[in-house]
Amino acid sequence: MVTKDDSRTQKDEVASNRIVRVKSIPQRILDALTDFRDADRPSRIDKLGRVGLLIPAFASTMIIILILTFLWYEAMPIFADPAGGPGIIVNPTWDPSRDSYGIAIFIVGSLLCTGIAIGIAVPLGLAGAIFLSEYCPGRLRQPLKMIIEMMAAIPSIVYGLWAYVVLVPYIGNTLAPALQSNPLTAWIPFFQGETNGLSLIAGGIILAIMLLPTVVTISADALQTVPRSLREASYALGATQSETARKITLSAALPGIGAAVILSLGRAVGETMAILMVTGNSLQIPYTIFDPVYVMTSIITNQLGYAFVFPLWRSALFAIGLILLIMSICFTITAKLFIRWGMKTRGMTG
Amino acid sequence: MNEWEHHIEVQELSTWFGKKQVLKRISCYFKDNTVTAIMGPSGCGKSTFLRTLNRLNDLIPSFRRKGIVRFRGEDIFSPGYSVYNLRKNIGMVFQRPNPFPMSVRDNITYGPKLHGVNDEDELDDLVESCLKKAALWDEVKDDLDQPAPNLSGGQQQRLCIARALSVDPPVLLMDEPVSALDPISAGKIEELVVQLKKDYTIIMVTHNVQQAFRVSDQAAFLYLGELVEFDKTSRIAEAPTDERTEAFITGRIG
Amino acid sequence: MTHTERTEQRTPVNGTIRILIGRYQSFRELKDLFFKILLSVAIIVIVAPFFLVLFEVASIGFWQVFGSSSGQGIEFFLTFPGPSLEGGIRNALVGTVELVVIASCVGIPLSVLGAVYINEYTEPGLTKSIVEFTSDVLAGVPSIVIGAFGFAFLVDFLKLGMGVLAGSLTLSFMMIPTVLRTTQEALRSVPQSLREASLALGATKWSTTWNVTLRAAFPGIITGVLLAVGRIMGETAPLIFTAGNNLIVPTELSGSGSWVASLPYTIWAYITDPRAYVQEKAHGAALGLLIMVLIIDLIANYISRRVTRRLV
Repeated sequence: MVTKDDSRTQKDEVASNRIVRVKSIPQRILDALTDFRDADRPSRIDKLGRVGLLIPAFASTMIIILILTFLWYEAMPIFADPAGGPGIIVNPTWDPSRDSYGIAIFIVGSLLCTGIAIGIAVPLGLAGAIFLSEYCPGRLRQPLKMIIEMMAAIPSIVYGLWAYVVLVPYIGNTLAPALQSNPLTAWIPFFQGETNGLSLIAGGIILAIMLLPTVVTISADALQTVPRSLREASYALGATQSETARKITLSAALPGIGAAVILSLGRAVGETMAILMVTGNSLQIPYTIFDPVYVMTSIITNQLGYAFVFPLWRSALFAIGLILLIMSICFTITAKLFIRWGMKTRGMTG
Repeated sequence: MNEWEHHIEVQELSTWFGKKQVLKRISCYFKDNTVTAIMGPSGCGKSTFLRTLNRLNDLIPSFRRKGIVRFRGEDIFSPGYSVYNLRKNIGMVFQRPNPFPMSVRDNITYGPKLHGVNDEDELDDLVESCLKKAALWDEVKDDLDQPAPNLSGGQQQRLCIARALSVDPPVLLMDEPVSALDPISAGKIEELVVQLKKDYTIIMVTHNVQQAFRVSDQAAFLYLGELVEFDKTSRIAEAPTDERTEAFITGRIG
Repeated sequence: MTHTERTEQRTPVNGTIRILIGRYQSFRELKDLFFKILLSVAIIVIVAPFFLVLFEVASIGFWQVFGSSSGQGIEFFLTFPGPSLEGGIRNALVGTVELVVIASCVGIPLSVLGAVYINEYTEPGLTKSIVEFTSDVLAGVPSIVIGAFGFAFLVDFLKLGMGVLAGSLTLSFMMIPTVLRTTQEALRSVPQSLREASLALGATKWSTTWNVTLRAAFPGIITGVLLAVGRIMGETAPLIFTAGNNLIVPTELSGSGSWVASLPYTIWAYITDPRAYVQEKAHGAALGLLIMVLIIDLIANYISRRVTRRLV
């Protein structure tokens, strides 16, 4: 009896909630105001707080909308102008003095740098993450994790300084001559070319170093959430530690790791200062890893300071910014979709 | 014919986690093609005992042990003894169903692939025969590629049994295999255990006295790390010699 | 001939392999060992840059920061650079502190209150997912794009001009998503029973949130704030077009006289300078920045670890 009554009142409540939801908006505001008038003092504070908090809650939403609006508004002229148009994305000539605003070399440069960085950082970072979560002796784990987290905190300008002072001369004076004189590697076309060290590979390496902490930390976290019972089941079938790590743990943690990789892709494309200092910034498409390269973030940093008085030039730079923004949004969405997909195919919820 | 009499023999086995002694000088052997139930209140070292038999406790840094466990006459703790072969020969089913987050098929083929079976037809046959032995074939044969975690709890546990059978171990360890399941699924698994006895030596840890009496041929009673009683199940059920066993069976300690 | 020589040379190696095979009975076990060695090498390669960077920066910058002769040590941080950059980096240090403090004053309340709203005042639904999604997107926006936006919006459109205000607002944009997400995480880890206990005493939602929930989540929030502060402290790209550079400390917040220096910008400007002593000062500034950022990170780490230990 009692339970029946209970369920009925619950149902009624649900129904009345539904009715409230379909009320018209003015009616709802009016209701809220009457509620507010009838309320005692504590409830009034409560209601005021609820409304007052709405603005901060949507702060990041507003900022994103503002960023999109302003970049769009600033980039519009170059896309509308006959000298520009959407074709600038595939046009490789960047020469503002002759009103030529092709941005293809910057896109190619960014993609190459990112590709090299990801190629180094993902395998290495995964190996490090597996070491941390599966093999690491307990006493070493905490210090190692701390160092890696501190690496993530080092500002990009400091990495840039190190790369500029140490890595670039090393590539120019040691690595390039060594690779080019060694008969095993000298014939490879990617290793040709004179270089002073300011090069594609320098950018790729410093970028990889900066991505590694993210890849390692997120992947190690993902690996550690894999339940121990899965590992034990694998050991109980006679698998070695490495087989278990590669075939069970890694595959179970794949959604998290995939998200880490995609997020670091986004960071790699958007990284500015360190890259700017070591890639040589020359307006050409690189053919070897020792050629200098110009990336999207660098051109904005280098030229916006004096280009902002020339409408088209400025607009072209903002167009590059808009492309960067769209890329980063795409990476964020892909990462989220990847996690959702991974959860589904692995039959996990939440 | 064989130099050894039983698949598994245990001699004077003591184990510790850190400073805490968990098992105290246990000696026994398990008859082939029987079901042995290991009973005892929680925390008495049942699971530790089971996990020592396939050296799964090696992974815990604070674990130490003394004494000998022989598998087919060989000391499993002797240096150079391949723990991977040991675990291939001693299958294990865990308390909670823990299928790998991959398809039903891949769950079964994982073990055989590790041990060098790569022929697709052979693997297909294996999948079918293992699932049939685990009485799961009829329920999943139409969709072997669905993710295993989508199965129901009871199905998952039978899949785990099939997975354990996939590398053809003569001995099967079961760590409270039904305690996380509903009564109907539990009943199915109990039936399955009785059937599997024909081909396998089964050692099953259980908290549930009635279940131990239903399925087992021999029973062991562990209390606070000591092997209190070890005999035919029917004899223990009728007349336990130790009063602690009697107290446990009648539900006074548990 | 060569063949026998080679076998002779190989004998000890063969011996080792045999010992290995004796110990690791099968190929699989050898592979396991190999994999383990590979991973150990990988982790060494991963952490090596940390020490390389630290060593390089410290080896040149050490005497700037810790030396005791004139222009070094505390004086390095307390004197202005002067026209030929021979002095210290007081302008940059003060500038960075100003920028970070103002950015925090704007960014922290906004993000903490925002997190309170979506965690305490809304059911999971459209509002919540919009806020979470846009925060994640904002967190992923490249810093130079934020800088360009700050230039277009704050400097140009709102006519703030380059300077303290424009720079710190731009930094606060970078801060909001990080603090919001970590605050949310901290709020989520406060057990529901704590809130219910307060509500059961007749407290309103508002006072429960302020006096119970936020207090319980405080360590987590502080961790997030510290991480965000450490991050914006080292940002250069957003400041190039919004804060500019200056050899003295500006007296105004916005307008043409408010250009302000910052540590990262100073490092960048100094390192590309051809004069050797200026490059040394860049290392000194980098070491100072590094020490500040790492100390902040360590404190954040310490707090978060102590909290997790308490909860476990």
